[in-house]
Amino acid sequence: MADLSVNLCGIKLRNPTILASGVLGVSGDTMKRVYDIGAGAITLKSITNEARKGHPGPVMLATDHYFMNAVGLSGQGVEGVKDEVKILKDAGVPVIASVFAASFEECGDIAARFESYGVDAIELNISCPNLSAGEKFGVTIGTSCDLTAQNTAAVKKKTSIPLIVKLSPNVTDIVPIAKAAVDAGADMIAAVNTFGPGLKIDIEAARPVLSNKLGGVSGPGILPLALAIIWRLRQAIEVPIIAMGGITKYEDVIEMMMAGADAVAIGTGVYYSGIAIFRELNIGLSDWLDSHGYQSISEIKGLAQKA
Amino acid sequence: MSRKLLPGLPTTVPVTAVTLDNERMVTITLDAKINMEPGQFVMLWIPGIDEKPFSVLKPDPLTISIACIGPFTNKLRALKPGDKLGYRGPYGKGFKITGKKVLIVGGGCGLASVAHLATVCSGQGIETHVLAAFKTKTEAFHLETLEKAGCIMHPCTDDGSLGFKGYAAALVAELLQSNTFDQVYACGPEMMLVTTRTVLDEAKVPYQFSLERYMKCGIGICDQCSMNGQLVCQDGPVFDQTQIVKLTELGKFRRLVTGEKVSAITAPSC
Repeated sequence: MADLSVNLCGIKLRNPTILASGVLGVSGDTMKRVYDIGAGAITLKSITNEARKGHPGPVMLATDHYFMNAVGLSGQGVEGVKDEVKILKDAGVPVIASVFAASFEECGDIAARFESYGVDAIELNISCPNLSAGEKFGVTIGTSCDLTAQNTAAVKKKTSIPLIVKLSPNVTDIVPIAKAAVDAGADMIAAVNTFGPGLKIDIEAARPVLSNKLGGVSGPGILPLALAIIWRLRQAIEVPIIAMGGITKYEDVIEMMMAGADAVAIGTGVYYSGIAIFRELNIGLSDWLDSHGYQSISEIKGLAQKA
Repeated sequence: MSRKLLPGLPTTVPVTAVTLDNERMVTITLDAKINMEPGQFVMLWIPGIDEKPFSVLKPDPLTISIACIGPFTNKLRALKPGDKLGYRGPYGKGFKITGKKVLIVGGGCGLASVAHLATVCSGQGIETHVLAAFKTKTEAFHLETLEKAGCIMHPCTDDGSLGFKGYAAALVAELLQSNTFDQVYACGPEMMLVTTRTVLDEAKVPYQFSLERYMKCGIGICDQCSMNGQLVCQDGPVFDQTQIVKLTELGKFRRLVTGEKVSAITAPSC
């Protein structure tokens, strides 16, 4: 059987499939279940200092081809999530803590707090598009090279575990932003957050379905867009890339890895295939690698770049 | 894609009737019909306001009985025929109908969640006993409808103003003295479920409970409704006794809209 394990800046994952932030990332017990069914690592739902309610419903919608959400960064706050992390760390689950904050200083403090909880890596969320008026985090940061660098450096200064910076695809050119993050201390890049904003109107109600009206677009339809971004990032940066965006089947994972990804994250795929998607992806990967004579998944990394 | 996808968008239709059952309960009928198992639920969307999960009283026409306990439910109560309401679903695992003689326990507005089950069971020729528990007589609803559907009614109130005086679990224990039920179904306040469960475990009667947790998506993504890692929206809302024994959060805590844990005994409002 082919070796599916990957090493991300010293964090050893048994396979390259990671639960993406924002999906099933609230309850430690649920996340442990996702790990038990096959995920290589878990990313918590993005957390800041205080508890947040997020937007009223509907906060998400789904079609056969795309998914849209505007949850609005609801979360129980860094204190409340401590017990959920403990459930995961007691079970030996590799955990990535996704963080955001209104100030760079505070963002570093939250990340340091997570490090004290024993998480394996920090993911800096500078790409959430579903903000309320006046909120200056998420994609407000991730669309600027300067702000990206400042926020990255502020978190890096207060932590010693690997730092992942998660990027938005909704920029003129993602490459300079990725380089700014890496130059400021990012150990890895996660790409991409949702596309958009997107809009869905209910014609009988004659109004947008999402209470936030606009939302971030994910799901199978964004796969080729995300894949092209991974392709371009791989040509521009050396650090590990966690690729996400529209993955619903093992072939999608192989494409992302062949484009140069070191690992992949699955979020909306949980809607399309259920929690068992993690098990199914790993079986598919293993069988495909075996049938093609590969000993290890690392052998296919960047393969298409060499063509 | 390896499975049939859950409904991901609301269907928006006119409300055809709004009936006040009592001071607290309102029954809303929509110009729609759905195919569902008893015990499944739908998300109701008041366009521009919010979206919340509700059990279904009747699938054809789609009818929902709602306890008006907060801002959202009071807006539902204020709807008029012709107003637009969105629904999506049905979602979740419903009740498994089994046996020849069953007891169905509905506590307060929880009766609305098991009324469809009672009607279906009775219609299949199952001897269907319904224990309808309320705080007081004025909160009672649907008793005549269920009686007309052939159910054997056992009303009970905390204050004795209607039927048995006392809590549902005490009446369950009493009914078990003189009856053998093949299955007991229940929905209602969490303390009622916890106390009823103790009675049923002691009597070794198999049961299925419909549970309630704060829910945002209904489609297994938001994780707000997790109980010990089981998603009430997909793995539930109906759980049997072999599953409930593992749900140690039952009666202990539930999650708020933020995901924070609070005591399960404090009633949610929506």
